[in-house]
Amino acid sequence: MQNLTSPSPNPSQPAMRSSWQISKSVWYALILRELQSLFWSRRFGAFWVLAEPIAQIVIMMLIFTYIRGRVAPGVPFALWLLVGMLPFLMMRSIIFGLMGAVSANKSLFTYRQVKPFDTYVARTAVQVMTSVAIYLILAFAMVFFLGYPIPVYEPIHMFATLVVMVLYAVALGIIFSLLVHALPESAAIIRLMFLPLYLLSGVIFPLGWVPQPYYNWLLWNPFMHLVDMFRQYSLENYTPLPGVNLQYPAESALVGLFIAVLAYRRRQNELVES
Amino acid sequence: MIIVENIFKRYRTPTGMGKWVLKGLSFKIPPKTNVGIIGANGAGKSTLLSILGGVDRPTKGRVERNCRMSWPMGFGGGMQGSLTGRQNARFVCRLHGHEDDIKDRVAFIEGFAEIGAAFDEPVRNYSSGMRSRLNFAMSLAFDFDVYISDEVTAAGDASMRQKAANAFKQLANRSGLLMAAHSESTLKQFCQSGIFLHQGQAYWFDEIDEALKAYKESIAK
Repeated sequence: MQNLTSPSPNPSQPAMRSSWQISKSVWYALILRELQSLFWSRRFGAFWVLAEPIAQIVIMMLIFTYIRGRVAPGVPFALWLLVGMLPFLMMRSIIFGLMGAVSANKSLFTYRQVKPFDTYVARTAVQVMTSVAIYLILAFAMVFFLGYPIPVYEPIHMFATLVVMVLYAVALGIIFSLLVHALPESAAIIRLMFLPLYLLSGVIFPLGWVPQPYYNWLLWNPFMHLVDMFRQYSLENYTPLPGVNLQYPAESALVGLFIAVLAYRRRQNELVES
Repeated sequence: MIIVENIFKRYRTPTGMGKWVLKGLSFKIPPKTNVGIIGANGAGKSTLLSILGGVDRPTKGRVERNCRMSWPMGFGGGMQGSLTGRQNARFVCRLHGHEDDIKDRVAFIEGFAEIGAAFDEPVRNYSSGMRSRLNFAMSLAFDFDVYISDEVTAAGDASMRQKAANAFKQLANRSGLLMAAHSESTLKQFCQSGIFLHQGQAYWFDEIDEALKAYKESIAK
């Protein structure tokens, strides 16, 4: 007769896992699942996950260095573009990823171990991992094959900036995800908003030429600070933009996280319902 | 043992708060009991199951469960269409902290579900019967004290139902079952006791036959 019960009915097995153990296994399972669905949703998925953003950045580099012949203050333009564009794209994909996390993972809330917050954690981890991988691939290729200087100047500060970027993106992502859940129409507006933000953060055009008082207005944008601080810490001879610091985006990130977590606490039941 | 103390539930709708689905339910479910939940469509069976399963929270009141409970097995819920049955099975094993013996568990799920080569195909290509087979097999792969079934066992064909009934008979000495269903024969096959949901209230019956009787009387009126 076939065994119809589970493989190891073991009554001595500990009845309860701690919350931390549950969260750890949920995050691990969700991260693997996110990667699997990235890799399996199309042919050669694993290749495209890396190739798509790389192609996007490389095309920009070619256009601006060869066709437009642009120069950046004190550093090779291609490198300047890489260390500004990649962090911005990472933040944007974290924000868009979190925005869609609840609706994309709706069916998983059947398992009470999985809460919307876990899907935020998993999506953020996957985005950071792929962005770091892309950064390493592109930087490696440019340094070893094209002879560019290594885009690592102050690694610890680079890491600190990366942490602030992730926190700030997560805060915005959670807030937007709650907003989109309450008001689905807002998703389109938020997505649209990122096009001007792309330009206003100095990702593809240097902002040093902007006259006063407009330049001071630009300084309200935390993305601009983050992009430029990352450039300062990764490129040795880079001339920093005036008035840029890490403190302002860090404070924005903390305030944003506070609001995000508070709003999440209030709305978490509605996120799981129906 | 599951203790339900005075739970109320209503949902938020686009036009404000909806009407109360559950109005002050209190009951205790003893361990190792198979309970059928009966009620008309919209009586709150699925709502009650998802509250008992910890997926949803009651608006008011408290649920105490000192046992390991399965997720509510419903139609195709909890599976990602673009991933294969095997990938979904591995995901659920990881979720429940069984990374170390994942091979055995997945082998069990594959054997029990009996969906053949489809196990390695994306779940979105499955029929609803195949989905419920897989869902059911997944939950049997873990040692839960209470299994929650939201009409899922009823979706399988005759052989699946027989297999499920046998599995629950084997589990009867260590696990309980909470099941929502409409089919009288399914309920009689699986359950001893019954909860009858009517107008936001719950009525407990030690014998499932009496719960079914009360349900029929409420329709006749």
